[in-house]
Amino acid sequence: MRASLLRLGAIWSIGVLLAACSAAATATPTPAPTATPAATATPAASATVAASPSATASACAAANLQTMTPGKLTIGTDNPAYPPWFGGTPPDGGLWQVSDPTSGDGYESAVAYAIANKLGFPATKVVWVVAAFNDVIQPGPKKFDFDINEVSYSADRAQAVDLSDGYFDNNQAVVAVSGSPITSAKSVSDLKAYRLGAQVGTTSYSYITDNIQPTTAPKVYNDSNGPIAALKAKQIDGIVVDLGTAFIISSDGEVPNGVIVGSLPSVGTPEHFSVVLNKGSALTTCVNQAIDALQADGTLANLRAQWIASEGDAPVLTP
Amino acid sequence: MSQSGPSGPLEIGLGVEPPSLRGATPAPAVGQAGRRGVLISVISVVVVFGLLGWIVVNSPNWPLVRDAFFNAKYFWRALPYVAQGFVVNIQLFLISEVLVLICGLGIALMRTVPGPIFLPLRLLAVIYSDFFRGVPGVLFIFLFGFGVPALGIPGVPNDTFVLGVMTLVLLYSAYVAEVYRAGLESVHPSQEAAARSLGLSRAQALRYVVVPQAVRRVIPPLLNDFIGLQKDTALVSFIGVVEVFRQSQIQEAATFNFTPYLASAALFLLITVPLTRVVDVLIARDRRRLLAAAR
Amino acid sequence: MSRTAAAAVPGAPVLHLDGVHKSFGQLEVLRGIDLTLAEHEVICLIGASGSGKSTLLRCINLLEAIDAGRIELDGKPITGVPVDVNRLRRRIGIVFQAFNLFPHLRVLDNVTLGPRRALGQSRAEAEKQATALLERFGLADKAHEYPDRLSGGQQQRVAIVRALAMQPDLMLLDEITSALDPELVAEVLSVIRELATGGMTMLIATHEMGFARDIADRVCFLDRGAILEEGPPDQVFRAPREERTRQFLQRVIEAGRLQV
Repeated sequence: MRASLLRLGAIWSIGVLLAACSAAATATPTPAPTATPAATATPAASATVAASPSATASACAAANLQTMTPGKLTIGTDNPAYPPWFGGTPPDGGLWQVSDPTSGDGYESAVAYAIANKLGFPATKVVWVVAAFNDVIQPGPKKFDFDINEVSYSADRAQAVDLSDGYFDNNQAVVAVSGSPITSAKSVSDLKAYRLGAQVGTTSYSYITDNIQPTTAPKVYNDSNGPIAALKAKQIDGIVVDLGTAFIISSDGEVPNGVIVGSLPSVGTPEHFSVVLNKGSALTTCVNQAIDALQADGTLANLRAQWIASEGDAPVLTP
Repeated sequence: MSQSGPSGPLEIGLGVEPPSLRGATPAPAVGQAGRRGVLISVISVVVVFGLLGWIVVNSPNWPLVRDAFFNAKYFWRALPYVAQGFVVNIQLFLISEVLVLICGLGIALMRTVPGPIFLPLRLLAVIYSDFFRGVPGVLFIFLFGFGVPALGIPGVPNDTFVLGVMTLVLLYSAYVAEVYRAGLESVHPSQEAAARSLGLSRAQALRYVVVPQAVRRVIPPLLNDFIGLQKDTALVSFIGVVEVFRQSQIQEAATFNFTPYLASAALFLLITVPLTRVVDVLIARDRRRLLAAAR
Repeated sequence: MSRTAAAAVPGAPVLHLDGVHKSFGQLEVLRGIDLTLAEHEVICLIGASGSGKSTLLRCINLLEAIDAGRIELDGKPITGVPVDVNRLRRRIGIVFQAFNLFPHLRVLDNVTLGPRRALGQSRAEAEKQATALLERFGLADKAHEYPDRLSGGQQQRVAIVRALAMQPDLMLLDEITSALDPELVAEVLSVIRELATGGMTMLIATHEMGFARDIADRVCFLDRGAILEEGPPDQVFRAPREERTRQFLQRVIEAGRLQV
């Protein structure tokens, strides 16, 4: 009697286990849920937006935009904020280091305020928050309306977050210390022999692994300072980083005796920077409209000329 | 006489009573009573874990969690890269551990050397232990990994792997030295007295009698520190070495899926869990001997 | 230095203690010990616990430093002058109440450790000698066991063999049967008897009164750190001069540890 009860118990337990496993196996994978509901355009007119030729202008009026904080536009970027993307001197003891996004100085700060303006948010209605680069490109709800932080567009990233139309066409570049052997490199294949470094998760890093393919494995760092420290410690020969940043770090003393070995040729579709929004954000269409408008009326080009050193100063590496 | 107490999970699981230290025969773990005990244990395990598993897979967010963390597709995709990165960690902890065991013993002996003339040595050992146990590892690797090479002192190695090994050895020798010290102090002074009485010098007594016993006693905490070391090899990622953590990060950044981290966790567990079991056996065997002889 | 079996005729003085004092903090444990031990002589120290027997033995092999007085070995002082302690200890064998075998070494290695490392003998030489000693004392089959597999009596005999392997000039035995079960005491005592017959110079602290009476050339009664009475066993046990000696022996007889 007891033996058969035990056997029954064993069979039942095994059955439970099997049921649990099959439930796991047969469940269909569901996509990650969207964080915000789809945008619904409201027909109500708003007088606060400057005249725009677009027919859906009223939908992108500030009053109609579903921002995180009603009436304010929350913009994210990483801290420290670096030139040439952000300028101005942050107040002592304040949150921001190196540069001050609220200053409107620097290419991305200026573009951010220009987009905000197009959306009907004057500078006083713009709030900045800190968002680490690595967090921004992950799926998941964001704590900003949009983020502007030298984020390159990629199809993979576009699946996780909304990426706007490009506001900056980007090239990668190689920064080294003047006089070191790598500075004699004239082409991408010349770079193969050297030790290169980049920040994790960046298009700079994938450029190294996809296009340069050096013989020594590249070194990868948590943030943008790691490569610079490694270059100074002579643990790497060159840093791969976007051209705008390359200009700054090679000239402002961050890399002592820094030089740009050259800008790297685009492979495939040219890179561009996009603004990052929550996946399926209500604001994406309007932000795109704003950027397209700024492109069309030459604002972006002017800002670029103002803040980013001319590419003519950097040699171009051949493929 | 020798005795055999419960020495592993099976005996403990069967609830076998430990025999008294005077050597009474233990309750029989064979025959009818033993077989039934095994059966009950198996059923109990199956029921409990089956229930837990059932609860987990039927919780509302399970599909999301499963896709983000336990995604088979991304697991197999990431595994070759992550495994390649793990080779670096293995090399790091194998080399570092040997050096840590040696340096740690050196520091422990330095700390216990008697005589007023050796006070500077003892102080050095104390300062070393205090500093390297107090400083967070990640802070130190930045200091040492970037800072020291930047000084450009000739002869100081600049290979990031070597710097990583040096960092780990410096950090962990401090902990292991304390463990050794506890072990040395736990060996009854009568052992050293017996060795000295034979005419062995202090160094010989330490080397042949005290240290061998001390080391055997502290195998569990030494192993704990070793496991900590295995995990802390990830620190070298901060100075750019692409080991398993960084490789998982690279994979995760490319796919936005967290399963690569799980792949690396699995690799670590593959190494640490069997090691722990091996040491359980070693401890049980050595303890029997030591307890019996310490009359 | 071989010791041929011979009549235990005492020879030249091997050990001489003169006015030895030892205190631990405020507690004075040895209050002026005068003692001479001649070659081939066996002296048994008897006395209550705490009378200083163990301390005295530990002072002789310099495990403890004396506070006053002098100890001489073969006529040369070993206290108050710089000495090579390790060399000295090779000449004096000591066996403790708690055996103190090395638990991480097999019996054979326990015995050969001293000869190999302290005397510089080769492994083969040391093992040959050790095996012979173990055989002589009936422990040959235990040579490759670890100490925890041996009975208390066997462990203590190994401890004696370990001390003998160093070929000491003199053996100090500190209550070596006190930690043993009664049925195991006899085997250890027979080893000591054999050593005494063989002419080993020994200073034995013991509670085994019957044994002391049998093998001692002289018996010293220690009382509160001083040798109260000293003399041949017959005299001390049968006709003690001091009152305290009588009281002590009376207690011992009542406890059944001595048949008079």
